[in-house]
Amino acid sequence: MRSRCALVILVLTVVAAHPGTTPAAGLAEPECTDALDPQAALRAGIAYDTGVGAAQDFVRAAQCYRRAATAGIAQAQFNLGALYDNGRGMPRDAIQAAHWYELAAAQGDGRAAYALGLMAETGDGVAPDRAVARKWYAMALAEGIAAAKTKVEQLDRASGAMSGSSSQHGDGNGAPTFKDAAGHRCRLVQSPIIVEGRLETALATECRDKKGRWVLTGPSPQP
Amino acid sequence: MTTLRWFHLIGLVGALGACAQHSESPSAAAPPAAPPPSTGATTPPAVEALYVYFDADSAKLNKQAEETADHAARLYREGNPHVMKIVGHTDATGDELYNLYLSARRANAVKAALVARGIPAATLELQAAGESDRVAPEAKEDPQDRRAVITWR
Repeated sequence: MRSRCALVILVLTVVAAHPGTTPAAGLAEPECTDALDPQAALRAGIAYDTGVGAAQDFVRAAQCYRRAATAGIAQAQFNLGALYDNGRGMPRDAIQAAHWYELAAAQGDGRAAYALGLMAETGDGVAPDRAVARKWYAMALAEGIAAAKTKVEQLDRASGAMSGSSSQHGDGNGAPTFKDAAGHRCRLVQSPIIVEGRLETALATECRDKKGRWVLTGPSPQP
Repeated sequence: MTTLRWFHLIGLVGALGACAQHSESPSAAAPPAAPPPSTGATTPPAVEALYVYFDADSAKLNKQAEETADHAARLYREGNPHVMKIVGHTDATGDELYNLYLSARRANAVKAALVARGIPAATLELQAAGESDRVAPEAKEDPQDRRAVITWR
């Protein structure tokens, strides 16, 4: 029984190890330099990442994803973010993860937006900010991530409950407020902004208008 | 061709499992199906696993289970050609057939949670193990048995 099993395993191992026509086949151990076509770099990255068509190697996967990600491919940006997020092939780096997720989200990647919502909610790699988290979840929902609906509702409920019990901050955002030169009630928030066509998150000032609504008024005051 | 190759890999894992089952003496145990991560050319990629735990007689994801689903969604890279496997389990209290259905509902609930997080449904494969694969077979009511296990490469 054992020897027959060993034989079966041997045969299957040989068959399984035989290189097939997987996306990366033919790319004999490609070095993902800037010279490589971005789409080819993405395919090579997935091959190294998942071990299909190449021996699994997260360091090379990251290198290939980076080549494709810097060329603007959203999938590669998300995947590179995920490698940083999960510490595959490198120590976990939430700041780098958020950076690459943001680039992917700016191109409409719903999964990246959802991950950013989670990160903003817990303050992982970005400043903790429920308002920003809600914006990311709303974007993820718009991009077809159904799970984001519950998240938006939860944040809305929490924010509604807080505004009912706390009169200090008005709407439960939790950020301390101050008065600007004109006497408006203002606060600092993390806000998604577009910089040279890319979505970034930056500290911004929000002040109440005459009707009591929060309106973004500009970047944060320099210390 | 990729699919065919996958078939072989699944066959390999299956063969290893079969050998392990039929081995009577401890010395005849088959090598583990999941070797440690290695860059060797012929070793299969490392298997990752996440455990989703359920309340007794429930197939509804609780808060902790939702967080595990969030974690899984962040681990899953776009374009991954591998099949992600979800196996539902139950403890041994109650009717065996009922438990088989309960384990199927648990696997399904995890699938729904992952699809809702943008993981393509086509890459998910479900299995219902019922009460057949308990952590500690002598214990009938172990909370660790009320689980679904997500594995992928």
